[in-house]
Amino acid sequence: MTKNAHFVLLLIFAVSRLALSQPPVNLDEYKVLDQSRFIVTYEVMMTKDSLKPTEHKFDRLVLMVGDSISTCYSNTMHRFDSAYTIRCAHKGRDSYQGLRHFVGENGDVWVPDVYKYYIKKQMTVMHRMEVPGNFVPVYLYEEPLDLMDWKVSFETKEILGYQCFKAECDFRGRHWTAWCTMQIPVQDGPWKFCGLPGLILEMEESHGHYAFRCIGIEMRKKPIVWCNSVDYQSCTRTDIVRQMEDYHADWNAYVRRVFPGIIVRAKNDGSFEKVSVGEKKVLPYNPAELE
Amino acid sequence: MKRLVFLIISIFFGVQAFAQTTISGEVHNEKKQPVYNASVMLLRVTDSLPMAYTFTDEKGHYQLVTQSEEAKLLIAVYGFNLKRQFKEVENKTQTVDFTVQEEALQLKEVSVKSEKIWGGNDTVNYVVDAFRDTTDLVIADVLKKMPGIEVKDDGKVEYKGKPISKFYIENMDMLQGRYNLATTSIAASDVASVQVMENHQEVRALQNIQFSDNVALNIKLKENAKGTFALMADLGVGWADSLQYEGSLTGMYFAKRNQFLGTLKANNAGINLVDNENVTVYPMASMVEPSAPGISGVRHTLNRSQGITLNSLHKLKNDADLSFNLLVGSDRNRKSSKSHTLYLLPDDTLNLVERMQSLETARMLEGSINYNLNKDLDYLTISLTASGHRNWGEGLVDNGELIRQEENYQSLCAKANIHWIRKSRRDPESGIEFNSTTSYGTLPYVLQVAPGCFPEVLNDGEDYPMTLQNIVFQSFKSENFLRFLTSVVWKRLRIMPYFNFSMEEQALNSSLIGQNAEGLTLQFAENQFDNEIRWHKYQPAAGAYFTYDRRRVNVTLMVPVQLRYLQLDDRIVNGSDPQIKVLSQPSLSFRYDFSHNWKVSTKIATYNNTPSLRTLYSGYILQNYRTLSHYDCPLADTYGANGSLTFSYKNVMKYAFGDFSVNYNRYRNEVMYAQSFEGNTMVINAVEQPSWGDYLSVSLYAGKGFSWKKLNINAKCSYGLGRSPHLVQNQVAIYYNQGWNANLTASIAITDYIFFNNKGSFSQMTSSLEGFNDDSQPIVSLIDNANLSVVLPFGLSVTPSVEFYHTRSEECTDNFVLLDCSLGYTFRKVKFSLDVNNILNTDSFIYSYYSGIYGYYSAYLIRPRSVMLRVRLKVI
Repeated sequence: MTKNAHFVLLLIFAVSRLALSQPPVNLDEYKVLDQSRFIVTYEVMMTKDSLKPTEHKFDRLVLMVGDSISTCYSNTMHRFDSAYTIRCAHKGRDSYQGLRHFVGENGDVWVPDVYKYYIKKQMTVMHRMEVPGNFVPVYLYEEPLDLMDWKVSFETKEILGYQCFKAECDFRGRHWTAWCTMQIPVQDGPWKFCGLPGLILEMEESHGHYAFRCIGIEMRKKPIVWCNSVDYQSCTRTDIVRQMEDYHADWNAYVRRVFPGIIVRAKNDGSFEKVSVGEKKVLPYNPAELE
Repeated sequence: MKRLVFLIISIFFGVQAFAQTTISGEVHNEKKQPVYNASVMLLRVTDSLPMAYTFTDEKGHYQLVTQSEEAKLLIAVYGFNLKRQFKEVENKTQTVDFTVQEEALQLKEVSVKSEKIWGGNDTVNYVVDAFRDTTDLVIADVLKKMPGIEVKDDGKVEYKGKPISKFYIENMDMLQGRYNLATTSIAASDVASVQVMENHQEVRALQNIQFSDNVALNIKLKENAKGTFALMADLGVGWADSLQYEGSLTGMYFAKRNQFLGTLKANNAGINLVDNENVTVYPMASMVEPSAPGISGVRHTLNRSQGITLNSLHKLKNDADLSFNLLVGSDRNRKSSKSHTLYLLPDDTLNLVERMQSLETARMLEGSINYNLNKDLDYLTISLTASGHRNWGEGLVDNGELIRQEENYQSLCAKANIHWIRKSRRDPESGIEFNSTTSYGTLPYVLQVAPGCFPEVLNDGEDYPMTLQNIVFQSFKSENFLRFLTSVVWKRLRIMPYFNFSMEEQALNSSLIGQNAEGLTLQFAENQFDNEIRWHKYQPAAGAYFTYDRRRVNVTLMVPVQLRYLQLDDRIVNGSDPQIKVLSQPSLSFRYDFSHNWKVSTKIATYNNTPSLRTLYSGYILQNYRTLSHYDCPLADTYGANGSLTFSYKNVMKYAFGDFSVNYNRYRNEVMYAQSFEGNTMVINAVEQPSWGDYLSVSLYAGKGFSWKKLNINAKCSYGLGRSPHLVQNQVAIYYNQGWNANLTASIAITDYIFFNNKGSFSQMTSSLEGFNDDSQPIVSLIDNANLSVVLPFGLSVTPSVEFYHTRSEECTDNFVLLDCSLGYTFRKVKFSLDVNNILNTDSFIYSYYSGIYGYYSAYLIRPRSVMLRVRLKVI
């Protein structure tokens, strides 16, 4: 094969930041784990680049609380999965589209989905790496529920009509302040947060890089499901942290490692540029878990 | 020294031992079973602030430790579905047990201000609750408020000004096109979201093979609306000039593998339950009767109608859908109008003033069965539809002379379709496709006109009492398409050869006779007024599709070669020789996605039409009391080409939608139809005279939603300019028609309790004759419909609405207003409404338009003032 032909073939795999996406999940193929008793919606604020602390991105998290299981997922990701599910049902022209299409102007995606098993006292974290196309597995790892060592205090405030008390914890390199209400007696909260004697309605990180704010509470029965159609791969949290560090330290090298054939990439204007082997692309990295 | 250390440690631990309180105990339920994972919290008595907390273990045990020096402590025990319990205790180490009761968790709900719309490149999702307000009953009411979507009066839906091609409920197509049954039946509160899919290729096996620019709509129901049978009842009774009633029962069931929608309706309130959706043969003659204006049917239809529909869908084990549809209906419609028709002639203008009344009865029965297997590698659709219509009509026309008309006809239509695709298991890019559609229709028709018409032509100038026109028209059509989905791909260019064979057969038998004063049959000149004709068209074709499909670009070129065999077998005059022609009508379509928001597409197609038997009969047919026509012409063709260019914009995050398109069509006729007037009667003859015409149209659509006050605006503007040749009084006359039209719909929630909707349209049309002094005035029409809904306390609501009409033409300028008001009351889940329509009791609707060579003005009798009390409730 000539070099040119090789180049043409590789063009098909050309990637751009815009074309990047997490693997989608077909929501029609699932097993029901539990029924939600109520559903809580949070707005999550993220700071992707610690050098630009005023540039915030937002997403919505949905926490479905059942009798023995809860799940917390990104609403944007869920919409992306819904569109993929429609495509699976119709196979229309709405072919696989990058997750970026589903994100608004100040939006971003809170990547991990968390399933908390109250009786087992374990949580399962589902993490989708952002890579070109949808050719990678969905990673799963487990952690115990009692990750946080909370200190409660006498401060109180009212959030959405609920009386809340303050609690604080240090969690993986960040100091967090939580506002929790006894009026909703579940030991749950957004993302991995849990373990307080009431629902966490607000979480703030001490540098103002991350925050979760409850914006809705709805008494609603809805199945908490586990999607079967996905190629899950078990790993540890350390594996994910390492991948994320590699990904942000040199994105070009990461993509080349995942897809060894890629030598060109699409620029945002639609044209292509060649990626030289030595070229390094560093992306800002400011994760919620620093350790 | 050792003593000192011991003393310090003792003091320290002693103090510690003094300040630390340990409270432990057990939490169990009323059955003495331990309660696991309950929260136990130690609170300060003064302000109930938390000091320490823990959770019970599997045995229900807990232990709390505090260093508080408060004299008393408060212990709270609570948990999921547990009744909260408090105990005030002394601040000392002790055991405190709790017996807790179960109590369902009740929360104060906080609604999320949801994003109204979200979506990707080709899908748009509308969150229904973000658009819905308390006055909306059915999903059609909410669809009207969504940017980019419009709902017509009959419940049909358009997206960006384009009709949707498929309507799914939970991804299943049960209603097979009659989806307005669903849009006007499904409760708005049962729908979670509406999904619009652009470029929708419904055949999975053709995805990425054949580009489609169709738009489909999917209704996603809320969880609690799925899997349960709902029966809705609507009942209404009132008074206009007689007793008015309206009633319907609608049963619905939507589950994952089965769906059902059935309706039973009856009314005399203007809703016509008979339609002609699957009719393939239409009468070649008709009564002259009032022509209904283009406003909502309930305004002008003075009818009595009943109908039943049954629709169901079942998912089979192989995931194929099997659906059944049955529709039975009847309608009796009374019409009345005064019209003025103006014929623009090269040397004259003909005026025709007619007062008309008619009474029509229509009955229909239609059934269909559809099987649809839609998989990645296999596709099979088998559908069978049969419909029968029976119509009777009688009418009176007063144009200075009183003319009595009667018509009677019945149509029977059947249609079968098989569409099959099988793709290779080894190479899913390749496969074979076969699509065959066969339809048959028959229509016997009788028209009686009294007194006898055209006495000069038919009865040597002698008046006679009655003319009787009998027509039997039959049509058979079969279209068979075979395509190879090849994997011949070169740089994303795919070549797919295909073969097509179509055949069409039409038969026409007609006779025109008269009746004399004694009731005896009058035979007019032999053969001249009879037809016995067969028309055959066979068309084998071969060609190829060339498609180029990349992420942003899609090009499809179709190059066919057709051999056309056409024969007119006129058994009364002379049979004509068969005509054989080789034709090619290529077409090209191109689409390019500039960006996520902008798309451009263009289409160019050539076409060829041959007249059917409807315009080829040699014996005279009485089309209506004032038109006697026959066509004396060899087989002739029309060749044409049309092209369109469309720019499409969509920004889902900003709720903005737009479309701009330019269309151009040019055609060449080998024959022209000569229209000659003798008094008030028109005779049509076809003569060989090549001519050409063209039409240019430009349209702009814009839709924008705002978060502010739920404001939604849809605007549509179009301009058209046409040139058409007509042969009038043996002269070629070129008519120019031009017009523009603007529509604006807007809805706004002024407050949480006041909603306003407005729908306005403006149009202006002119028609002129080339080479003649043009002093014809344009016809201007302005229509505005506004309604205000005010939600009052105690479940009450009031909705006044006003419709304003302005028509200006050469004949007259007319303004009139229709006023309505509705008072609503909701008691639990029962909705009552008292509607007063046409409060000003306006008696007729006035409208005018230009069409080709004639201008038309009509004052049409509409429904008088009416009062109706309606009840809507969920029976099950």
